[in-house]
Amino acid sequence: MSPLLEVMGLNVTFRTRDGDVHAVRDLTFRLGRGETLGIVGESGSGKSTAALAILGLLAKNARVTGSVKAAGQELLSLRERDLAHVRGSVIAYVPQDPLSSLNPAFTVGWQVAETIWTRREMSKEAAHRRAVELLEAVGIPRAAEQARRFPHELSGGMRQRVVIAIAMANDPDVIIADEPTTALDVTIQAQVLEALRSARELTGASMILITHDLGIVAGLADRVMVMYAGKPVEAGPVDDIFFRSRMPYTLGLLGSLPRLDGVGYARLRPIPGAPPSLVKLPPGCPFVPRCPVVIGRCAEEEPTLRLAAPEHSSACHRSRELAAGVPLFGTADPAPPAPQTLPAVDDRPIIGVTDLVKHYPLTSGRLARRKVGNVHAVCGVSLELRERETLGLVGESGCGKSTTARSILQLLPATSGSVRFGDQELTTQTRRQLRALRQHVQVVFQDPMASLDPRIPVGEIVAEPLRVHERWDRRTGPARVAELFRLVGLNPEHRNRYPHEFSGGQRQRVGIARALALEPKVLVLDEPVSALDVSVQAGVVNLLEDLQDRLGLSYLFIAHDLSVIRHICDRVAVMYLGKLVETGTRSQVYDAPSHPYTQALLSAVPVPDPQVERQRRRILLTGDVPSATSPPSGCRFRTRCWKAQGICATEEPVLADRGQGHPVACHFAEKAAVLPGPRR
Amino acid sequence: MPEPAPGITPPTPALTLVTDAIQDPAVESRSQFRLALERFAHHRLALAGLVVFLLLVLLSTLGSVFWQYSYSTITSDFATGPSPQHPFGTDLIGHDLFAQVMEAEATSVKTAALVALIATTIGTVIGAIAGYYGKLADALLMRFTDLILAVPLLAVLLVLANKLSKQAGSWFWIALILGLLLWTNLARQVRGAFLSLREREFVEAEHAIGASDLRIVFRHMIPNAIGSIVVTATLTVALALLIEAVLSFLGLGIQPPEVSLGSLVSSGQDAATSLPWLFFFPSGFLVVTILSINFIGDGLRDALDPTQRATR
Repeated sequence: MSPLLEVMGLNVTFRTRDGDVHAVRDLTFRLGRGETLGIVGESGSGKSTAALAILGLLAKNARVTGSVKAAGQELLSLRERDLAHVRGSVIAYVPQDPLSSLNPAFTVGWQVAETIWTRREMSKEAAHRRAVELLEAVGIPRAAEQARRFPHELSGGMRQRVVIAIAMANDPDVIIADEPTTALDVTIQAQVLEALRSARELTGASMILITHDLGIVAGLADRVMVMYAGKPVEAGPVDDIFFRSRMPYTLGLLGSLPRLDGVGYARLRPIPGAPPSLVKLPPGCPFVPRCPVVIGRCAEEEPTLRLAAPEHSSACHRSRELAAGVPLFGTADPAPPAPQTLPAVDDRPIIGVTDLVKHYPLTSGRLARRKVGNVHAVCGVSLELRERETLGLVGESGCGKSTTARSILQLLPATSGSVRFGDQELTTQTRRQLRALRQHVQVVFQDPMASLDPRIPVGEIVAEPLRVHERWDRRTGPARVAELFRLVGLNPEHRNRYPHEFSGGQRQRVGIARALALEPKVLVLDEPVSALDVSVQAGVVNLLEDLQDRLGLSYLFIAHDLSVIRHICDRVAVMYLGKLVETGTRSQVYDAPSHPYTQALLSAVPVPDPQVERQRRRILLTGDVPSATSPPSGCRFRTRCWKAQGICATEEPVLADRGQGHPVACHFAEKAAVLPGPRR
Repeated sequence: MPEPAPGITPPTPALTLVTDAIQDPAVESRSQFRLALERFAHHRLALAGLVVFLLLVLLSTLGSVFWQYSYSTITSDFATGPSPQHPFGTDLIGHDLFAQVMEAEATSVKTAALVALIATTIGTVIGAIAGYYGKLADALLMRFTDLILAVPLLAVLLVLANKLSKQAGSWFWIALILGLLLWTNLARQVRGAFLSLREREFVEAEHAIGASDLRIVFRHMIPNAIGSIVVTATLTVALALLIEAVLSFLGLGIQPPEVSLGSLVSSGQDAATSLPWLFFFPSGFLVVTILSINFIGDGLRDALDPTQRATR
């Protein structure tokens, strides 16, 4: 039987001013009936371009060659009208951004129904009924009611499920989901992935799942294809890819990932360098500059995808030699010598936060602004950060973790509460006093491009704090900047370059160098690695760990990625809707989570291990995070909690130890092991 | 930990760190300014505009210094057509028109340049304060901007021309008045740019370092808004030239004995049919000057804002 979808030698080239960009090169794969293929790659690897090329949706400056056959029919030579018929009824597409793919002018129910009645002989009433059924199938509660809403009235996770319902509407043979959960929070991601699973079951469709998240692939895919620099570099059954990889890049990716279940190396193994530019690819394997096992042939001849084992092909000249489990990538550098010179750790907190509250006024009107309410962003958070400790503050978007960070940094005035550095109260300082204190508490932001002034060379950016604090000296200044560059692993000779000339990971290093310029005691790290590709992220995480050891820094590490938090933090505080729900040491929070929210959060994170994923049972939360303008009474989590009872609505649970050994804010706190224990 | 497979050498650890961080970016080191300059150089129309404009300025400066007649000299030739002696001809009184056009060009350009300077300074300061501080400052300053926008230019000049009948004719006063009224567009642009820059993380990073407001505004925000400032300033020059010409044409602008392109066009239009050179030379210079500046402005816009690619 012929495969459902057959792609042969697909090439996509974009004409740009800088030259031809070879976004996809020689992509070949087959998709069988009922099969799920995961396409994995970092940003710029060509995975989304490939999907759009298959669907014939690329912009006009793209040149597409090769062959795409769906059920025996060649798609690349089809006219637009015939192609439109194929899209939707044969191949359905779930794009990354559900807000821009839904029409804001129509209700979501109408948009699902429209897809049905344009393709089939069906009355509009019947189509609407079917639309509501589909919305129910993807897990939208009260579907009939929600169907009458407009896209902007729904949350991101709801919208993505509507898009999945549209994709299911005409019983397609293939569903292509392109990063369907990238913009979503982890508990919402779990809901959407569940919706994708049911879409797959109900339609019996094959699926192509495009993602950068190896955990998602491990849980959903039957086969995996890894792409690098526009080319597939490895393809095979999911277990082969994860446990018996034959390609250094895949091995590197797996080694560079911190894992939620704590399995793996004590220190991450980053892949050196950054993905290549697709404009002028040198001959030979594009992975050569980053590969630890290069031989002479690699730079001359680009390897093609060849069978390395049954059903498992790899594009590496040395794939036969690469047995499973070789630690190809070293730990990047030897662990630095233990810092004996540092003074003994003081037990008193270096940063103390008590009952921090931050409300934003909601106003309306332009000329005379009236206050119409408050956004309760942070409501009574108390934290303690001790010397040389890393405290992780974790929560989903909108939970107030960044607002907490900015209030601690005095970038936002707190509504009430106290923030102390040592024994100095920060909230009552004058601007001038605060300026001096800022030297001790510095910050690294999430987006390394946005946090560097694009008009100033990086050397000047790093020197900026010294100049501001009049610690710049014409003789010693440049040496200090060079020292800071070396400290974060940058070449001091590059100090005259501009931020846009660096890769994401390097830019983040510049940001870290700037934060270190004043020799601070505390660094507030606000999602410092979440904008980086996984292979680069590991290098920055290692750098942060080394710097802490060498300089005796204390970190307040804010992130939504629970795996990174587990890897780097000593203590963890979990935040939900402006409040802390659970705090404790890393092992207390991860091995014995006692708040239902922590448990749900941990259970929702995918682990890059297909065996673990198959055995896991998920706690699926219903609904979305309530609005911070009118948070629920009592316990804020009760609207999504499966344990909620009468008392939860009337009495707010305080953050206290209830026999779990660490503070939990839940009336029904109970330890539960959510994560699978170490397997091997 | 498993042993490495035969034939595979584990990397030297120290080397890995070095290559990780110090990998050369493929791009050669080019500053944003250089990039903008290159883009501008690729914009043919803008380059032509720049060349023409510089030639005009050079010609008018040299012309008024080296030409045998001054713009106020009254020669013995009345109303003669272009000739080697008088390349642009003479007017009814006997002024050499070439000398007059050169002088007028110089007056018009320096008036327009002063207008742009005043308007840019006021507009940038007001826009910057409104955009940086927001809230009350923003509301007050922007309402004031709306107010200025509503002031009828002609009425103001009519009144002032009466009041300051002696000085009002001089190019300096005209430039001052126009400059005080033409900054509104720029203020709005700068405010918009600052409102978005204020929220950018690199500005927040400056606050976290403890930098002063002045430093943040002058070292970080204005350089990042310089694109729209320069473009608007350039286009203000063209606008000022045009408005000055209109005012002088109506008799409200530069008064005799000073001459501007507008006043020359005005006095030449009566004789447009009988002595066409009196009309065509000054108006031709006016049109070419304004066009060249507009082309420069277009080129700058494309060069400084790479997201707004020209679709010409």
